[in-house]
Amino acid sequence: MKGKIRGETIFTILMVFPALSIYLYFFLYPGLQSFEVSTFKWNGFNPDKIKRIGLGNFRSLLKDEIFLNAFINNVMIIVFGGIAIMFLGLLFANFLTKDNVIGKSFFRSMIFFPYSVSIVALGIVWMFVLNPEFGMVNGILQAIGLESLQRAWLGERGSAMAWIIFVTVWWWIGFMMTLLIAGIQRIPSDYFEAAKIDGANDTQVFFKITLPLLREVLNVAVIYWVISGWMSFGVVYVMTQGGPSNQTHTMATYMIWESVNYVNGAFRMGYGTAIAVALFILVVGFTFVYKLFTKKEAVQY
Amino acid sequence: MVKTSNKNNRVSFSMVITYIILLVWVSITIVTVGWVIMTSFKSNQELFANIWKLPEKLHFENYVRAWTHGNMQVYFFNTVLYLIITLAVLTVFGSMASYVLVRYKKFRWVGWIFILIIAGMSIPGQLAVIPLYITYARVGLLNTYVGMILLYCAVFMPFTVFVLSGFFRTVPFEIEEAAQIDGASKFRTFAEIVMPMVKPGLVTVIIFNFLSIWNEYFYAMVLITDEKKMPLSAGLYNLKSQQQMGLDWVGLFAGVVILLVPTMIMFFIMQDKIAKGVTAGAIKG
Repeated sequence: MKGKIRGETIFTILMVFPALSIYLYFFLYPGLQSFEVSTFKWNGFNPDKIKRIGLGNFRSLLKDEIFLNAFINNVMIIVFGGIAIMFLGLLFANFLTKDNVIGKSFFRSMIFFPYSVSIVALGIVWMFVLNPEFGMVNGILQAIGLESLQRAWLGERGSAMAWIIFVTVWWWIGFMMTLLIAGIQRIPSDYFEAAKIDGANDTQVFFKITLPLLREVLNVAVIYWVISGWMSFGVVYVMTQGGPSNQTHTMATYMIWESVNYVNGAFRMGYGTAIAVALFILVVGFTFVYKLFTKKEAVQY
Repeated sequence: MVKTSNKNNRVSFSMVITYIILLVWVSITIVTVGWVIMTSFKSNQELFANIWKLPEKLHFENYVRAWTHGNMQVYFFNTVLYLIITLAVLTVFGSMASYVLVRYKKFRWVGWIFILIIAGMSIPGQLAVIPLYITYARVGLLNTYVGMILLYCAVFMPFTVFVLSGFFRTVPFEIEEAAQIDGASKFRTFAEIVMPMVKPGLVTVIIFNFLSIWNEYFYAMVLITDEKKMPLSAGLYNLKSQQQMGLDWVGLFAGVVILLVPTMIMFFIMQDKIAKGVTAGAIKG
């Protein structure tokens, strides 16, 4: 019996070793190193030049205008984008699970499409569309006679953020909708039949039956969206690189901009890592608090 | 048996409004992507002249320029290389690990390792990237194929293990026992009997990892500065940054389409699987 256990132990260790070691060394361990590096003042090159400054980086962060501005940008994306995506996601998911709708799978795949494509490509596509000289948006405005509304959309913070939020929603809606559709499909049809017999109309069915029964799935969706919002990077980096004048940075783009960016040349590794750690704490903290507040009983069918 | 769905057979006003919103939304997607594809065949003068006119003739040379001068062929080749090796490593090592992590759960330490790996799915990429950059710079792994491949394997391993372990859990114990009674070694049982039974899981994981790696840009942008080693997304970004100083816009359009097309094709063939895989971890049960 002992020999068998020994054999199984050795077998397990051997089988799990390659995957585990790659994961540990090239992902988990660097992740943990961040906590230490965030207390450094360092440019990442000469280990002798490391200055340990404890929480100094974090103190600087709280006074850093660009960082605070970036934080607000993240919040704007999460809140405004969140409202839009929840509204559209529920609208589409609810509609595209009805029986008497034609072209359901066409719509579903067209909505999901942006999510499966490289965000770099999407960002560049929208940069083209928003280009002041040859872009589609200004072109359409010109065609319908609203030339005065033309502008350099990505050249000012307000309009740039608005478009960033829009593109983020456009990119993410497929994921959100698919999640919600899966949730709706798990609701037993008896509920809907009973409602139909009682003569309820669409709106009543949605608000009194569908929505309450989607609560668990909605919670998951909110968590995913908010976390993704805190980590917003691709759309911003490709479309504006955080500009103009660092006004559209998100925390994640600012982190890269300050540390490993060759254009900027800053290489403030310690500071950048501090941003990463702050971001991580933000994400974990949010998840924790959110789960605490939504700890009602599981939905009983 | 009746399928679960919303049942209401009257076409209401709200339905009409929703349909209109849907159409508008979907046309945004179709028109923007369509416009980019159409413009990629224009010449640079036509681009600035009139954005709506169809191109006089199809300027395929835009694609040739993007492919050669714009280095798209290098980026494409790199991505394929990264893809093949990373997918192989992820699938093989991932299966091996997932199998034992499920099969030998009786050992307490196995459970801990499983949690350790799965927890990786909630770690944001931004956390690991700077220390990785520093380490790679020190040991000379920046701008190397080996470095990027190892990184990709590490990053996508948690999700791979997560999905595969779900599939391995469905393999009935009796079949393995029967094989072992017949004298097969543990590894042979794994490789020749259990693995074929989880084929759908392997397919799912390969498709999803394929998309993730194809579209990956974050680590590549940070850890690779040498154009010759860049994968597609990072390379396209690089191309864009150069273009903003150069003037070959339509070439850049072509570059974007080159990046989009394979994913579009993959997407239309495999929509269901992709959508399912993407939400796999999200909904419990």
